[in-house]
Amino acid sequence: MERTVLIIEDEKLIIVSTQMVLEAAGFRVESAINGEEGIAQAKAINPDLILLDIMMPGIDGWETLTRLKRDADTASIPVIIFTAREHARGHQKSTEMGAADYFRKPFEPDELIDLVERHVSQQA
Amino acid sequence: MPSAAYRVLAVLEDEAHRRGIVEALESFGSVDWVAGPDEALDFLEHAAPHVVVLGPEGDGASRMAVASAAARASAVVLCLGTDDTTQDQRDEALALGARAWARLDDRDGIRDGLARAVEARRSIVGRREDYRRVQFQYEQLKELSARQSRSFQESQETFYLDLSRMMTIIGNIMDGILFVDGKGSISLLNPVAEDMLGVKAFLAIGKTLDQLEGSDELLAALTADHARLTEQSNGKKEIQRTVEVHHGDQDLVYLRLQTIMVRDYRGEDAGVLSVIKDVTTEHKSDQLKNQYLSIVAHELRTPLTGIKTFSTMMAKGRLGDLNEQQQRVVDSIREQSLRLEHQIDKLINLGHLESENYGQDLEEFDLREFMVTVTAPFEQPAKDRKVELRFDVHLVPDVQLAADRTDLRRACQALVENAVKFARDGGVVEVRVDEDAEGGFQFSVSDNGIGVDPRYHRRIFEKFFQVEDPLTRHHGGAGLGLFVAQGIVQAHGSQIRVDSSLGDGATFSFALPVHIEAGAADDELIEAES
Repeated sequence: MERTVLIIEDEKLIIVSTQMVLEAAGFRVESAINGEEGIAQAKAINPDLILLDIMMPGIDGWETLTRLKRDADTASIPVIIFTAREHARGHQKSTEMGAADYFRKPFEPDELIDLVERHVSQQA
Repeated sequence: MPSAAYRVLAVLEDEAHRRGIVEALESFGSVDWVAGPDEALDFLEHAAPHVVVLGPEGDGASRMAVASAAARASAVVLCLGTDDTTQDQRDEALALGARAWARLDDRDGIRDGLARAVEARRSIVGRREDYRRVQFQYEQLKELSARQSRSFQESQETFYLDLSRMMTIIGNIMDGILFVDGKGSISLLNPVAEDMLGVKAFLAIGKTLDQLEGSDELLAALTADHARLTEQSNGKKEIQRTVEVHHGDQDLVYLRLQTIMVRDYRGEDAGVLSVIKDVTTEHKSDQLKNQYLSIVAHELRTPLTGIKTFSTMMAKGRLGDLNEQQQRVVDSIREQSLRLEHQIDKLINLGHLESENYGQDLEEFDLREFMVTVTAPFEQPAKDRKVELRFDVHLVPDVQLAADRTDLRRACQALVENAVKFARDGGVVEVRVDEDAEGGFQFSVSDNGIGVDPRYHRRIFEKFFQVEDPLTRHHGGAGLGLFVAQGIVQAHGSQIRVDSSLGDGATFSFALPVHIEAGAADDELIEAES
């Protein structure tokens, strides 16, 4: 079965490049450009994994994560926090807030693929 | 035999009497004759005989006057009387201060009396000399004592001046100062500390810390630090930490507490001193800076992500075959994006340098995967410098680490970067992880480059330190790599060691923070001090 990854990210460049990497590895990729749209998409398509950016206009990544985890429809989807910012205690904070992992940009495409594979297969 | 040096004043009118004693007197010394007490007084005003021989002439008062005058002249008095002289008169004579009494016609008695008188005078004069000497010494002692008393007063004044100056300083210092004596009672609380604690000094002095009523958070923090310090009196002498406190109705205030064990001049515990410094501004400024850096990071890293992703995909052939030239070009683009990434990381980290809060973001991760990310960025630069970078991931133990991955990578990469930088052309850099004797895992980077002189082995970890060597001067850098690396490694409970001598290469190594399963090895517990 085809596995779907939802990218919630406001920078089009990141969406395009990340999509390229994941599609080459056999994933189907959907995207949303802000938190609210992302939540709506997640409920609609029920992806196998969500890649979530932090710095976005409107509600930021942390708030989006909180809402995703609170909503029964989306709570079980693994979320990987995906950010270019420096966050103090980024890993700890992500875990505390319910994310499955914390990943920094820029990244090695192969590393991203490994990470996504790992978390998607954990769900299965 | 009395010498002729003795001078005698004879106060005698009656010729017959004079004739009677003249021989006795003149055999004694030189003699002056006066008729009565009045003349005697005149005489005594400008002469100083040794002996005054006082006949029975004159009344008691005038004879008393002569006796006094004689005494002032340091002369002794010999009274002469007759058989008719009564006991009363003799007593009177003695009362006059006479040393002796003799009968007018008793020549032997007179001579005897004279001798005794002179003897007495000698001892009186001697005593007077002694007295004068004693008095002189007494005057000197008084002078000395007065001088000492003045100088003591001066030093007391100086002491009080210094003390009041110190108290003025303490009173006006912008930090809070609290001093608790050896028995645990508060003996000093300056105005700033009063304000911070919300307690007046006059209410606090004499009480113990836990008896105070004021800012609960601050008092709790101080009490805890004081207790820790006094408990381990053999170990730490000072505790420093920053606490968050709610000050009245205002926002959060950040206070840096510095608690120090005080010893007196004998080396005994004299109490505990706390200095409380308001660092809210610095803390807020730090926060602002970190926020700024975070935004800068985002702005730089976002486009870089695009460049790196696209060039990597292309270089790895995922977007179709490339001809040789295209491959070279796209490899170079990818490589440059890696360099840029590395530089941005370094710049951001420089900005975080003062925080020096390493090892905050802990996670568990696989050692082998981690080691690949450590060495990967240096493969091309090593090739370019014709340096052989030896790293075999298969030789790396299969272990989980528990650490701040980003910081630890930075530390490991600092060592690899140095090794590649200081290796000779055609040199070898070896990166390994080996199990050590105690069951720990040592990360080590060895090179066969110029080496490090043993006298610099400690200094190379200092901030901004660089070995002054014409051979290495052109390598540039800010001298921070090893400083930061050591900070990170220490925050993870270990220490970077260097094994090297000049011309003989170098090996830098440290123990990796291995993930410990809950319940295992309690003795592995390491306390990190802020």
